[in-house]
Amino acid sequence: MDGKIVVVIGDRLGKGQNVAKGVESAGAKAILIPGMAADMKLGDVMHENNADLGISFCGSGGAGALMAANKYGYKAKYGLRSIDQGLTALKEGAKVVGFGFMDSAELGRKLVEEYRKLYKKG
Amino acid sequence: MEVLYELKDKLDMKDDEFKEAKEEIKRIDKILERENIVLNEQFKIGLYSHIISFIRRLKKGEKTIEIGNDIISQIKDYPLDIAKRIVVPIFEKYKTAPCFSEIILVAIHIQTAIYVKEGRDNNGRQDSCSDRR
Repeated sequence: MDGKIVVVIGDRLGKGQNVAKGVESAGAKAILIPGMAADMKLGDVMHENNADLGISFCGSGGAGALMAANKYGYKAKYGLRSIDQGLTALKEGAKVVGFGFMDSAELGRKLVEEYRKLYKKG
Repeated sequence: MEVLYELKDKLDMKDDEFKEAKEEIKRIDKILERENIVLNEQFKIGLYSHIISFIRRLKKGEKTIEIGNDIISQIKDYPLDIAKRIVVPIFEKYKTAPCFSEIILVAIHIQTAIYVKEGRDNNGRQDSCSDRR
């Protein structure tokens, strides 16, 4: 993957395009899972792609993050509602972050920038 | 119910909240059992955590986003009917007018579980990776 940070995005409603744009604008590779209930596949797609970070969106604040954590043991933070909460979750070691619906380029960009700062990758 | 006990810790649920959620989950499990819809562990985590969060939202008076026709049109009548039976009594219990978007969010869980059971992907297409879950 060219040493790039790989970020998988799964949104219950098949959205997340803006987050993906933000991720790419920060120089990382975004894998946006297509279709409805995409968040439920987050763990599988992260595992298949040996991803660095997963971002889940749904009404409850990221059930996909909990599912990914359960199946693959990824450290997850769930129920996040803001960019700052996402950055804090990364600082606390989360590999999967679960949000309420929040399709924002700024979120994708800032998460990648924080990840890069923390892990000196990409 | 094992999944629910795991969620109690993960979602920092107090005993009262857990008891409340447990009652609802039992009711929901009965509905799904009657319809012969079997949720695997992953789907239980997804649906149960959603219901817990939904109840928290109702208590706080928070509303979810409005779901558009692009999504609504993909939901079949059968999972929608089951979702109504799951969600409407919860709205009634918390004396809140039913919100169609919340019903759709639960219907997505049900429809996806049905599709996976039938070996289709989340969008209803035959899935070559259906053993994933």
